[in-house]
Amino acid sequence: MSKQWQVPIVYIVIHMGLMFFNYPSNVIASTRSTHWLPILIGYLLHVAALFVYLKGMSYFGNENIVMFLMKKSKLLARVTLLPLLLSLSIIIILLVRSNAEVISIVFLSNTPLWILIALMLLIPAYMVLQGGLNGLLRTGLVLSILFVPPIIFVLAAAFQNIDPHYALPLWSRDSDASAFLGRSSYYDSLFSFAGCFLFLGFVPSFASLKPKAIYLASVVLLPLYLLSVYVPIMTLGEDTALQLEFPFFFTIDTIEIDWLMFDRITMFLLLSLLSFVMLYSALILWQMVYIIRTAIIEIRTGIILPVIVALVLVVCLCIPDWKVIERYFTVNAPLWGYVSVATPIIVFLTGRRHVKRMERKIP
Amino acid sequence: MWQFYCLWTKKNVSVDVLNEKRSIVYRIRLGSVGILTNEIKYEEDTGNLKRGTDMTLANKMQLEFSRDQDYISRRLLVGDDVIVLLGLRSLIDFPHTISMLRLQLIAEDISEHPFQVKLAGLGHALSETQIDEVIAEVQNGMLVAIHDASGTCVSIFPVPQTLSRAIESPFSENSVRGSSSAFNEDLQTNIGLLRKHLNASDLQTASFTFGTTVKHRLILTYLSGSISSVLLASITNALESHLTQDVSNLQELSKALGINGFTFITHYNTTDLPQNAAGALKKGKAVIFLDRFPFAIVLPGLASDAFMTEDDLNFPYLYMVLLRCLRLVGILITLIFPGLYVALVSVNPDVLRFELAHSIAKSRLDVPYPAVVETLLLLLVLELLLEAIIRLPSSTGPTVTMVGGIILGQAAVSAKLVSNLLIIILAAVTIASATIVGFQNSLSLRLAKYLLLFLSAFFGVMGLMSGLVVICSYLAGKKTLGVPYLQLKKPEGE
Repeated sequence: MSKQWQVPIVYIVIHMGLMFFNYPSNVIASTRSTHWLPILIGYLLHVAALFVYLKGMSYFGNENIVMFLMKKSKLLARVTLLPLLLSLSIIIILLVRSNAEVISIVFLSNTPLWILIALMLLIPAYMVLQGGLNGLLRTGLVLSILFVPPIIFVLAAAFQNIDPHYALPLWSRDSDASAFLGRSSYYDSLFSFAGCFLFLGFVPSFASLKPKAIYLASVVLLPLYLLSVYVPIMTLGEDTALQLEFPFFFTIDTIEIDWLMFDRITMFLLLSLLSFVMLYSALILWQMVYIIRTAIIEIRTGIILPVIVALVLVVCLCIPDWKVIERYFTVNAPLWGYVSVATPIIVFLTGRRHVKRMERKIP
Repeated sequence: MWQFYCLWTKKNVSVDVLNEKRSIVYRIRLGSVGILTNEIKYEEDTGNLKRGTDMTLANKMQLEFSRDQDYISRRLLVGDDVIVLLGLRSLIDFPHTISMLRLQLIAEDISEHPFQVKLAGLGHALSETQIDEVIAEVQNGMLVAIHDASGTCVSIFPVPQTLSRAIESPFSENSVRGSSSAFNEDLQTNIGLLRKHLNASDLQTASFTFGTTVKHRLILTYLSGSISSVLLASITNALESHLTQDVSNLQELSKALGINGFTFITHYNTTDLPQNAAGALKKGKAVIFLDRFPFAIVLPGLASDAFMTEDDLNFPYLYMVLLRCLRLVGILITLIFPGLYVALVSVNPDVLRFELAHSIAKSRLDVPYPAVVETLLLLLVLELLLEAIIRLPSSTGPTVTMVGGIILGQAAVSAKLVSNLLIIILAAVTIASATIVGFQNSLSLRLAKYLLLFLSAFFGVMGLMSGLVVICSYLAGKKTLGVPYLQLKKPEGE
């Protein structure tokens, strides 16, 4: 299949997997009006980080960041990659635990939670074992063919009950417009922007990475982010949306389609998104295995992967409820913020120094 | 006469001792037919041992085939010369072959040439000392002619017995708008058909012979301009390194190609139709013909082979796209429907509209076991039916169809063993599974639906989705000779 589209599609799809869960409620909680402003600023930050990251990687040629940094300096590589590894492991724990909770609430209230956690972990682990990064990229492509149409259908149906007046005013003159910058929920919302773009650094040397296609893909994301926030607001109004844990899913639950045999089209959306979450979990697991194998200790995937999965499973089981997950999210935010800002910058600086030195050598 | 058992040749040896004038002659005969292999003369006057004549090639061959009733060794007088003809009567039409040979040897226009030159011109020369080569020629159905006087040994194309059927329409696949002449068991016919469909100067064929005692010929064809050199190299390397292995079925062929046998997908596809083989060659795949197999083996198999055929290209573009979409829908229905039924009935009835959930529940009111057991039971009957129809001769086939119709029909519902809806779903699944291209692909599909069925029984719709993800990642991870399975058109490496 067309190889140049694998990476951009996986990039879009894993962002989709994150953006509909916590993002709408965080943004709605962070500001009272002009919701597009926090979304746009978050998006621009994302594009800026992406630009620095991709620019830095373009200096590397056909090597991924782990290989390149290890070649430059082992210390630098470990200083850069260890925080990444740590935050990846926290993210996968939170991701698996929170999604198991969501599945338990929506679909399987009678099934013990540990089985759901195991399911959300074992399938990504199997995906990693099956094909490595190339296999994951191909899986992403097939999953997008299977599961993007239902999402588009649901998004199209989501406009059923909207009232555009709720989105107004688009610009308010009061000083409150930038108040979201002071709220912690806004910084939580940034996670869905920062969550996954770092995997791009691992792609070169496995598959071709065209920066242009990635920028193009990031353009596709902006309307999706706007939709994820504005659909609940326009359907329920800002005050009601603020009360809900998952405003987007609640909005979708209100949709009524006469000719469909299903009562809740939320099912389609949620299942599709969960498949993307599984893909994202698999990517995280693969990144962790790759970092460990390349930068820390040479060990077979078949040994290290079960160890990681078992550890994550145990930690997941220790998290008692949703409140704790949210607290961990907030605790993890500074670390993740540091990783997603520092990694691109380190990559950029190392890459530029490398190129400058090469230029000096070959005048 | 003395009888011995020779440990070296592992054959019975008899020695005749003849008392002649002033000498004793030992005639050593081999085998049950008693072919003279050596004659030793002991001269009493001088005390010398003299060797008699060595065994002739014809005698050696007679010995080799001594237990084979099929083997014929015939002397033929052509003018003043005697030639010995060797061959297998089941493969060679002897009366026709001999008259053809005679006509050619006594033709007027070459009468001034010496006999052995004329004979040599009829075929390719064999070395008399290389008996293995001569045996191989005879086994391959060639006629071997030996002219003892000049020591010439020639292998000639005989008039063969007709052992292959004529070119017929295909049995295991249908073509609506393409040509319908199909491959048959004869290698040469198959290559010829392929050449007729693909008149290209860069169509290359390479021949391999597998096996030590039982020989199998395999012909590899490819378009040198289209195939990637890496793929070609990996195929030829794999074949060449397994030449001693027996390749009499496709499992052994997979082994020879270095393909892991423990797999749920087919790493190569088979086709009856020359147009499909030609299309595959143009896309850069390799096509393998195996002796006595009435189809071409297309390597490597890709995911697209399950829903795209060469025949589609004879329809207008839009219809081609729609037909392929229809097949994809068929594949998805086959995979999802049984699992969806179980998930909706037993785990997640809440996602259904109330009216529908109610009517399904009503239809299952009297069914005494869980939905997954019900579905498994009926699926088992269905699988048995599919298998039984293949096994039975066509004269008794309709019985199975009729009885199957009773089990998978209203009777089962009236007996309150299964619900109405399940019958409809399984009928839809059976129809949908037939839309997939290629029998071997439909096997994978038939199996994959059970994974979804069991996951759905445990996790409901969530299990259905996880099953799809597992199948996708399984397909994404598979490779054939370094070529990922999940591709559409040209087989490319990673």
